[in-house]
Amino acid sequence: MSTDYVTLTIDDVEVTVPEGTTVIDAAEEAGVPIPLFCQEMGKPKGDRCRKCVAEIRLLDVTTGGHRTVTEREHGCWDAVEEGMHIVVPGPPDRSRWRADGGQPERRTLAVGKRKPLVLEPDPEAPEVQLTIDGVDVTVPKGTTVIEAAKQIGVHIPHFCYHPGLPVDGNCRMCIADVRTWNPRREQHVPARRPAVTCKELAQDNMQVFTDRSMVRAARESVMEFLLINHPIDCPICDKAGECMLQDQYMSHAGTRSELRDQKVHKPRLVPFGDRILYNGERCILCRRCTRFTEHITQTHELGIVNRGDRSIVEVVGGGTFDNPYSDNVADVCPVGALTKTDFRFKSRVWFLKHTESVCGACSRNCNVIVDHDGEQVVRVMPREREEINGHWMCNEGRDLHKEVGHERRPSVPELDFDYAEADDVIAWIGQQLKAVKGKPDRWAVLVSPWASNERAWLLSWLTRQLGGVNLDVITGWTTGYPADDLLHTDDHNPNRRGVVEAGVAPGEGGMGTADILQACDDGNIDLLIVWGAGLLADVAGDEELLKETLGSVGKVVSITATVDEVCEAAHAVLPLRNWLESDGTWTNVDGHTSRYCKALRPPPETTDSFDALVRIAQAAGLKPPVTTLRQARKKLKLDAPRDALQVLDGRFEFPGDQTRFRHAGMVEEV
Amino acid sequence: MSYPILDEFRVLTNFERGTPSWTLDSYLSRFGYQTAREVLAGGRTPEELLEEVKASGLRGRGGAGFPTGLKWSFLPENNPNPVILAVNADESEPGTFKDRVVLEENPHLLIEGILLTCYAIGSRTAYIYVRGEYVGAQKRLQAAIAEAYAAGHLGRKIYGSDFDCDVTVHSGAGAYICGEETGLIESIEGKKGQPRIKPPFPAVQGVFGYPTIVNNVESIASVVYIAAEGASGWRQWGTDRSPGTKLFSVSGPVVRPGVYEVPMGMPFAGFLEHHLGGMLPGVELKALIVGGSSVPVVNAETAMKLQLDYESCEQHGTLLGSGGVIIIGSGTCMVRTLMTMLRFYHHESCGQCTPCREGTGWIERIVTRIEHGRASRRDIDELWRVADMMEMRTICTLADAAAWPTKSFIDVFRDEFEAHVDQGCCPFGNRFPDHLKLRSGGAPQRRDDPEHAFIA
Repeated sequence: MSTDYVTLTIDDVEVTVPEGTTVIDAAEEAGVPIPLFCQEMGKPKGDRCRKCVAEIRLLDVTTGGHRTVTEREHGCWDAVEEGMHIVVPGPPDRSRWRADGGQPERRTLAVGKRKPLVLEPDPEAPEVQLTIDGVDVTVPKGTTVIEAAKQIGVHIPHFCYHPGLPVDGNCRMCIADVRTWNPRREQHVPARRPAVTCKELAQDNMQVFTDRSMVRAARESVMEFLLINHPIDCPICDKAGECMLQDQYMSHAGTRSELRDQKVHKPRLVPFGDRILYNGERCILCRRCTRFTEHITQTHELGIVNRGDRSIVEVVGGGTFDNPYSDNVADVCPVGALTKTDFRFKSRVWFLKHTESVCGACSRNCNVIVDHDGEQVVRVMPREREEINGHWMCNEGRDLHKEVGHERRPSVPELDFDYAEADDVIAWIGQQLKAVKGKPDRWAVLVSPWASNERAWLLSWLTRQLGGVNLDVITGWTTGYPADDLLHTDDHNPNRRGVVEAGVAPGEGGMGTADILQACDDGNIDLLIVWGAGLLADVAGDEELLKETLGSVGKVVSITATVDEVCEAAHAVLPLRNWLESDGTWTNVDGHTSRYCKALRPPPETTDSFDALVRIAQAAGLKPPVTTLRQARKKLKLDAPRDALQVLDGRFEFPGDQTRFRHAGMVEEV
Repeated sequence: MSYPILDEFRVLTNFERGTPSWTLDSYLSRFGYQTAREVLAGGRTPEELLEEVKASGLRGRGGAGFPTGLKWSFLPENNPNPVILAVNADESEPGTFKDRVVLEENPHLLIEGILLTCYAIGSRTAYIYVRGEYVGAQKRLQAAIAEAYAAGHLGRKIYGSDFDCDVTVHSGAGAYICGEETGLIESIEGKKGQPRIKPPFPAVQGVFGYPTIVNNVESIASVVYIAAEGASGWRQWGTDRSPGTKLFSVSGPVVRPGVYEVPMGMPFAGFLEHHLGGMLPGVELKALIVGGSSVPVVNAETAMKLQLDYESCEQHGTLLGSGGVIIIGSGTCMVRTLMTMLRFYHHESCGQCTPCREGTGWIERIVTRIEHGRASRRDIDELWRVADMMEMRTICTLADAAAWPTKSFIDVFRDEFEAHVDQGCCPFGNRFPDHLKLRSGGAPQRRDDPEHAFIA
């Protein structure tokens, strides 16, 4: 019996397979396997999970073209059809984060003067006094009612309002009973059309009631309208647990659905670039995402198409949504309409631990929340810090933890290329330091711009106490996103300013990095201590030259969390904990200091770098003025006042203030 | 369409039917552009003209009836920016087609009105936003503007004065919502037509951020007569609070449907009898929608007590609106009428505010079920409740425009709704066409889906 064959194209690969072959098998046959969610979820292949990311297009015999079908019509478990065209999105291209992977073309953001990230009313403006729920509040003129209410702790529920975005006023959830003083009638009169508090400006003698029956009825009706066409698929939605719609349902509606008509169906699983997936049915059309691309990145990729309840968000103009800040739209999305491909089905949010941290991808030091399970980072989200990053962060910063996880860590302390106890290494370094004391031109210390303020300060103190003058910052990492006028700077290291301000600079008659390396090459250096990785950039990426240079040094000490050429050539290696595994502060390019907290459990055999420094100083016969991070911070604050350390003690909000919490891990540890 | 002129109140329709009244020659023969010439030659200062319009009590003819002169006076004082006049010719309200007569038959009257209005409000730029479907009207208007430019009625230093005026015709693309003044402004700016939150009102921040006055075609055209004859001339017709004449576009089972210009305050009964020639033989008046599909419906009894002015309509629980008189005769199913109207609002909701976006579709689905007898009496209450939830909670009035008729249809003709659900079918024998069956299911899956292409 002869078998019929079917020809189809999969990602431009034409393949002929026997009739009855499933799409999955055909894709494998073509060498373009579909990433299968069913298998990821531990189910048998082709389990009709309806979550495949492959786009199936059927040949339309009437037009001769292809039309995209939904998973309902045709899934990857179904048999192939003649003329079918399947588009398989590849796994997210990680190579783009490294310069050697080649930079893909993308719409770049303009470089120029940085705009203010948070629209704040003019503090010089005259003040107005109003009453919100019986409480008097005085705010500068130009403040909206919702923000005035926030100041006295009155939470007005909302969806489309976002403190970092321009007001749109479309969700109608923040309606309140706002009454203005009418001098003619000598009484407070309500507006004819109830005011939306996200748009209504506070006025003198205004009365606002946020919890009247009229207001509650308005909110409940908005909830009802939002939920009639919402799929209510919370059990499989990644946003569940931090979804504003879910929260508001619990606090406002809480009733069963009485809808007897069919819901409106819209496209689901639409990829917006390779980082974001859009689900039109979950979308409540609050337009936070379109306002983000319109006003924050000003790249205008996203827009609303169609009218009425057929409206959906689309990448307009046929381009892709591929800007360096694209993931922020998933953060601002109040529901699970925009999800990050990275985070899909990774974890339920209530199982995540949240730790305040700082992004190290560039010298902007965006304040972030690291969501993790104690062992590894699951996702990184921006934390509001008005003067540094507003509410946003870039995609590179979100992926930074993956690079850190993938890079080689020095596994054990080493002494003369053999395993040693950390204590022995520290004692050995102390001896070496004692030996070079009094010979300032024979030893040098190079510090990575990733070192925290406290560590850099203690290191510079140590060097100067021993009479050292050859102390400088190295170049560090040089690859990453180009600078733009939103957040990204051209320095791909977090703390160059802080390290220099902490005193890491050549002493009197001392040498800078280039001169130190030259002196190493000339054989004039007996002891070279390199703190951190990334020295390669200082020799223009010439590995041979660096090896040669290090070979001419008497003793090389590498204190690092990443294996590099120095580490390989070092006589003593002390493995450190990275910034996700320890506490510290960084100072960004504008001089704002942020603190990161320990999120992950450090690998065994690593030493806390501050602790190690204290012990090295003690081994070198010195008595360090500070022995704990807390003392160091106190001292630093005295020496060079930093403006923002106290921010850490306040409450903070997620982007879109979905969840308010205070993390127990805030307690400072030594 | 016919627009017989039976009376002497010919302010906006002062032309003989069947003649090429849209040409400049015809208009000049009717003393066209004389008022503008006199005013620009120094007959009146802009302030005097504005006061005259205020004193005339002219109320905006777009639907809300807001006093036109008062609207003009909202322009900021000592404003350094140009002022823009936007003429709203996006006449999309079901049942309303009165501006079309001005645009097609008397475009020069509109141009003269624009000249005078621009002079009064200190504007040099006017946009006429014409509904996309009015292709013929656009052609005539464009030709009239070309004639006016050639004859020196528009352009630079008009009639030797220092006054310049430019008029641009902007074609809409068929969206009802662009008839809302801020939606119209967005559309002129080249954006998707979606109403803006007010304040700031257009008079402060309108087209391209400049102070803008948005007026209906009929309001602007009425300014010519007010400038010529003064406020007292205008007030000789109509009532105290609704002075002047008004165009009414009449549709329905009457002997002579069409567009009529009558003084305000005319009793509807007389209007029906003398102008419209009464109901068609064998048809009785069942209900009346007096101001376009957005206003509450009244039954025949109330209709007969109604006078065609703003106060009387409000007194009887409806609104004069834009003057789109829809006459509903016996034998018409009210549920089906409502269903047709709600399909329109569902299709035209811009999708910005939650109550309107989700609500218009929801009430359409409920009323479709009622029409086809697949509902219970509870659904009638549900329909009323959802309409009530939509009311007054959105940026613009489109949600109200869908909610008011819904509530009034149920209030006035509840027995018909109940007959539908009790009998399980339409008592008027309406069947359920196949394409409506599809529509009731919801929105299309994708825009490129050929099956649903007609919706997107």
